[in-house]
Amino acid sequence: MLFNAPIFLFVFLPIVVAIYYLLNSISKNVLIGKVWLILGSLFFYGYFNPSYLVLILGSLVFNFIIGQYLGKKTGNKPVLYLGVISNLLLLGYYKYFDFFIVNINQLTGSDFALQRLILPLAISFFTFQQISFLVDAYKGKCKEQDFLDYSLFVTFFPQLIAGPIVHHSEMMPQFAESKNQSFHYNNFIHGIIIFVIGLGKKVIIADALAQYADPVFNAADAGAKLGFIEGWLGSLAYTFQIYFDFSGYCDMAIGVALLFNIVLPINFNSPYKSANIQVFWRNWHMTLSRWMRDYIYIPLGGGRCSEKRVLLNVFATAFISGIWHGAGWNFVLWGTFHGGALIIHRLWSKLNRPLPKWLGIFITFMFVHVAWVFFRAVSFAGAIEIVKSMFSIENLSTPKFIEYYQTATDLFVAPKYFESIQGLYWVVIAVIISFAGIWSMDLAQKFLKYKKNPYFLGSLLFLFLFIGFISMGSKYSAFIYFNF
Amino acid sequence: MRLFTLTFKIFIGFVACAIVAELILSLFPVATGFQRDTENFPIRHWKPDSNYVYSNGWNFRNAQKGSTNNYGFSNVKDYTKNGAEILLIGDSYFEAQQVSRGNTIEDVIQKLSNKNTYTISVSGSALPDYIKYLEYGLKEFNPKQVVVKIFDADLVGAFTTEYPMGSYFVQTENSFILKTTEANLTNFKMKNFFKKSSLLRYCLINLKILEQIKLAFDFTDEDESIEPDLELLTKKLKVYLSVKFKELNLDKKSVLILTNHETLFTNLATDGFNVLNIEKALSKIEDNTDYSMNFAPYDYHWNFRGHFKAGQAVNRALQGM
Repeated sequence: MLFNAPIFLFVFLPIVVAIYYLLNSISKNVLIGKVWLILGSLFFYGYFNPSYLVLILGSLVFNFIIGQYLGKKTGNKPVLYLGVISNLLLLGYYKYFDFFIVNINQLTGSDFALQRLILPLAISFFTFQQISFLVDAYKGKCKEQDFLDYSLFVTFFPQLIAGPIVHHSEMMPQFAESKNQSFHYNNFIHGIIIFVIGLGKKVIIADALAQYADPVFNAADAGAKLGFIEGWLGSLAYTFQIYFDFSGYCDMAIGVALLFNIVLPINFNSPYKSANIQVFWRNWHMTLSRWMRDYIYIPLGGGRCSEKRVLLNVFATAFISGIWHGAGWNFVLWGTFHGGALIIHRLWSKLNRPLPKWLGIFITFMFVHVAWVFFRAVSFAGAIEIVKSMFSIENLSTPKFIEYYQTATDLFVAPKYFESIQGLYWVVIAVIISFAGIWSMDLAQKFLKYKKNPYFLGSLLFLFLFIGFISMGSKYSAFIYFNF
Repeated sequence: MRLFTLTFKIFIGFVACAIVAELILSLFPVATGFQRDTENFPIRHWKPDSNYVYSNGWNFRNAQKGSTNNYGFSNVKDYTKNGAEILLIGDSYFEAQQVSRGNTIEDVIQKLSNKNTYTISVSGSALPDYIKYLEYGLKEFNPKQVVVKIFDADLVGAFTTEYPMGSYFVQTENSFILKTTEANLTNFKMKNFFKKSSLLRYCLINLKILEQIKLAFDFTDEDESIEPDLELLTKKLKVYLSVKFKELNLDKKSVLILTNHETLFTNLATDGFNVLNIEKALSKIEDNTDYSMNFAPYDYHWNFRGHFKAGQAVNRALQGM
């Protein structure tokens, strides 16, 4: 189920929230409310394809049992390895098996059959979350005796599909807190405000930009030659599409969780304003970066080893982050670029010659922007075509949008890939909001001052319905991070 | 009492926000749809000499302005009695709100053939409506050649009775019987009144919210829906058209049926019917020109290039008849 789908907005969410508090109010036993939340979360997960439920339930049971072993006896390394490797094998099978076979076939000329597996929803997220649980249990940082609590930790639907990737230790105390079982007006209104902001970002900005990014990337992947302006506008449209798509998703996840009095960690904090690539990664998908730091970078030695080794650790972490996003050479390249950029940043920092902030922001944004081309393009040739068009001044010409061709005499000269000049307007709007806008959490705090004003509540209700309707009218596309 | 006051204040906040949305939307090209004519008229049509705005989706894609002519059909030129040499009959495809005036299939045919070309095309029509348009158009405009659009959807949708002032078919063993529902003029007046609100038009026309609600909460299994027997329907249609053309004194050779479906094409292209499979014709032009994007994005109607190509193909077929 998608956060922006009408079935979620107008049926699932109101029912789950209402019954959750109803159950908690009529029963002193918190267990019933928890069971209801788990059932709701499993319904949410299995809505598109119930067969995925077997996988997530199997994974839950397996990791819970391993976690029990690890909790009973500290330092049980073989059991930890068994747990971590099993999780990685499951993820690897579904996510990377076909990619691996394709490359083996290409390299050796063999003809191994592809499995053509459909990636189970959220597998990358719940696998990482459970690996962190196992490692934390091994280190004695967390202990879980209750299967229901563990199930809720993994399946809690606001964070299940695309994060934030949460730690057991930051979620379970919140679920256990008795005052969180009852309805809190403040949290409820705060949640709705953040949710509406996120829904607006996704539906109004990200989906609008997708309409202008997709034709350019599709054309490049199909072998079309692009001009300078098309290359830039298409790539910028995607750069801001993914920004508002993911930022919108994170806001919506935080907003929905707040309806249940659960505070999810912040996952996105104006990353395009970052003055260097390291800060960018501290502000983009913050919980994934935290996971990578805690479970890859630090175990590899982190920053407490020789400079060469530190650089290798930095690169390896970024590289793994790249391939975590998907199985394809484009993701490998994207991770490599970011790894390289982090190394350059580290080496530059050692020189102690800081750049002016505006220049740092500009360079970081431009690098991230060009790297997104490789992330988005389906084929390597498509990505190269777009990048080539962006840096070929000889291709510079007055952009001609569909509006121009509708009045032209030779109708066959109209390009296939650029729809409308409106795409340019959307990019400008996105630039203004991302660089000069207020962070959603601050914006929500400003609105929260009016939480007791009934006129404000009426307006909030209108906005919720109106943006919900827009979502319905724009055919509610899936979030980009749902693919990972 | 406190609850009532609170609810009332929330309602006022809701309405105030709706008014702000109304004002903001009035600055944008929100689709207007067509004004309905509240006067009686023999066939479906729109209010004569009225303006409309077309735009698609929530962000007003492909905004176009247009108007209806003296007969209430979307057209920049007025029609005169007995004034048509070529008459096009169809639905939104020929009505062509999606393209700027001058680029519609009718305009292309007129330019290429140098013959006075009219169209009686109203969006939301299906095959039974076309029969009514044909009866009316022959009498009123006396064309030498007629082009009737019969896509598979026109035939499959020929039995629905939901359109106001629409016609529909009832099946018999070998053919169809044509029926027509009466116009509900009060309903038309009400629709025209509600269309004054940009917010309502935005929700109903741009966002198609009623259709989306229906779709979102439609849990019927697609596999369970019964596929109509197009083969049988086409055979019945052929019988019906033969009788109808005789009744209207219409020579089959002067009629070009424009279809998109191979079953319709193969079954109709016998017994003297002229049929053009437009999908094939468009593909042929595509092969020669390497241009394939004939449809307006997110709209599924022909874009200006689709109209241009379809006009070329139809004109060529008309010349060969």
